[in-house]
Formats: sequence, C-alpha cells, structure tokens
Amino acid sequence: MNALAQYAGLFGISALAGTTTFFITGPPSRVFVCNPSELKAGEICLNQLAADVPLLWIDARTRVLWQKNGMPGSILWNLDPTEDAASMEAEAVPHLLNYPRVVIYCDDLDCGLSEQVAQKIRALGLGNQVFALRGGWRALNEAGRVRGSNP
Amino acid sequence: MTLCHGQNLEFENPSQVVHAAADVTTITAEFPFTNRSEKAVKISKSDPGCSCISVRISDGKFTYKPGESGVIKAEFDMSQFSGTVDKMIGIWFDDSNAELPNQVLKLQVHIPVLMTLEPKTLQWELAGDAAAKTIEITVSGPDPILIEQVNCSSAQFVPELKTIEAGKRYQLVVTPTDVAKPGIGVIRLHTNSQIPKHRVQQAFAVIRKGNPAPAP
Repeated sequence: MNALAQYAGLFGISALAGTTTFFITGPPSRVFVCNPSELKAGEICLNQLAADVPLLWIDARTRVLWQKNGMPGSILWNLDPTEDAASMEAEAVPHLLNYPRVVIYCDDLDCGLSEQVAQKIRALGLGNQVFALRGGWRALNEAGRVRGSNP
Repeated sequence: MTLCHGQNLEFENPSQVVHAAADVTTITAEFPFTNRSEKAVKISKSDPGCSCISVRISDGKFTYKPGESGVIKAEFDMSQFSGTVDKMIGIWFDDSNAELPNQVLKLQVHIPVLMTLEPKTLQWELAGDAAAKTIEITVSGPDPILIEQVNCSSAQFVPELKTIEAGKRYQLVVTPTDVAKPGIGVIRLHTNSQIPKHRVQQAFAVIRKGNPAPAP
C-alpha cells in the first residue's frame, strides 16, 4: 500500500510538472532541424546555403503545389507523368547555364524526387553544383521562404 | 522476408525491389500487414510524396482489430521513369499528427535504359574554336531502335546523324555556325521506339563564356 501511494505521488508530481511545462513553454517543438552530420550524399541543409551566392531553386513537386506555394523565382522540374518531360528539361537548361549552384526541393517527407531530378541535371554535364534540400519544402516554409509562409 | 513493426502493425516486407520491363507504365506493389498489438489500429493517413503514386488500403478498410490482416496497395505510374527509382510512402496510424510517419514503405524499381547519349550536352567556348563535336548514341536494349529524324531548335547549330550500326549505334556530329555569340540548341532525335518515353531523345548544344564556377 505504501509503495502504491509512493507511485501515485510520483505520478502526480510528474504529471503536474509536465502540464506546467506545457503551459509555460508550449507544446514540443516540431520545427524541422537539419543535422549536417545526417546528410546523404548530394544533400544540403538550408542554413548551409550562403545568402550571397546566387541559386537556382527547382521545385520537384507537382505544378499545382509549385504555383500555390513554391519558392519565389523557382522553376518547376518534376517527374509527373502528366507533364512533358522533354519540354521541362529543355526549359530548364537556359536557367542552369546562368546559375552555378542548383538546389532542388520536394515535399517534407524524404520523397526522393529531388535526387532523381538532381541526377538528370548532373547528366546534362553543364557543370552545375547540384544539391537536394534536406527537409524540402517544409524547411523552406518554416524559414518563411515560400509563397504564403509566415515564420 | 523482412518483418517490420510500424508501431502496432507488422509489415511483412516494407522494403521491396522490382526489376521492371523497359515498357512498364505502372507497377503495383503490395505491402501486407497484420495487427500484432492488443488494440485496434486505424490507418489514418498516407503520403506518397509524389503525384505518380496512388495508395489504396484493403478495399477501403482502415481500422484493424488485433490479429487482423490487410494490404496496402501502391500503384506507381512509371511512364516518365527509367534507370533506378526509389519511392517511399509514409503511413500514419490512429490520427497521429506527428510530422514523421509511423511507418515508411519503400520500393526500388529498376527500369532498363534503352538508349544512351554520351555526352548529353556539347559545349563550345564563346569566340573559341568552332570545330564539330560528337555525341555517341548507343542502343543498349535487345531490340534495335532506329533514329528516323533529327532536328535542332536553333540555326546556330547543324546536326548530322551518322549511322555506325543501324538500330544499335549512331554518332551525332554537331557543328556550330557561329560561336561569336552565345546560343542554346535543343536537338531532338525522333526514334521508332514503341515505348513512348523513348520515342524522343534529347540533347543540347551550348555556346557560352566558360563554365559556371560553383562557389565553395
């Protein structure tokens, strides 16, 4: 009985501490954190991109999402079967010639589309440095970099 | 067989590898699962991360009692893909609002590349040497693919197709007519491939001042 009372007391104290913390500091942070040590080859964190280096942003999501809340100044290059893949590639080349560094983003989940578009860009052999953005659109949104975002 | 617990659902094979035919347009992958927990589990959300994937869950049944089994079917539209393609589907349970899914299902698809162009882009230095350059074209599939027509979007480049072995090997020789000004040419090779995504191959010719120098 004594042990049960002790357990109940500990539980009550823990619950009170947790509830107090929740109301004082708010719910747990769900902000995306990019850890450079966890990057795969060809990936980059948003905070690793120097602000003064011109970048070409490529949105690998659907056309609808790109138009709705894409990165301002970005171009669309995805693998959507409803798109004309050859035209999309041809339209991207003039942009690629103007920018030494290219960063591609897709959805927040590790969707893999960015890397596939990156492979297509590298295959062109135009000399671009190509990265897939870790965290994708979600990282951009949380940083207030996309249309309609409010950091 | 790889068993994997996505919290309460146990998936028999959450990571699958498929070797597809070159003409594949859709691939259906099945991810069977069983509820090994002692409470009912609801599949509340799926995110394929790509408009090329549609996900169906056991004919619309979303809640599984302990011991019940089901199948997540994912249909992948592969009409634009070739080479090695990795796809992932995120699955959330019990109305979880977590950012990361409770379970990630993976599918790696290998689709043969039937025709390769090497290099894919020919480049000339602005005001430099205007010598002709060559793209080697190789048909790597078992069936020959004939190149029936070549055209270029810019009069600044003259493409000439040389047949080394009909249906198997070609050379595309491109000569710039004027390297005094920058230019881009989109060269399209129209083939007799029966597979739509291989019907038109594309290469580029570029005249520019140096290569872009990536910042460190």
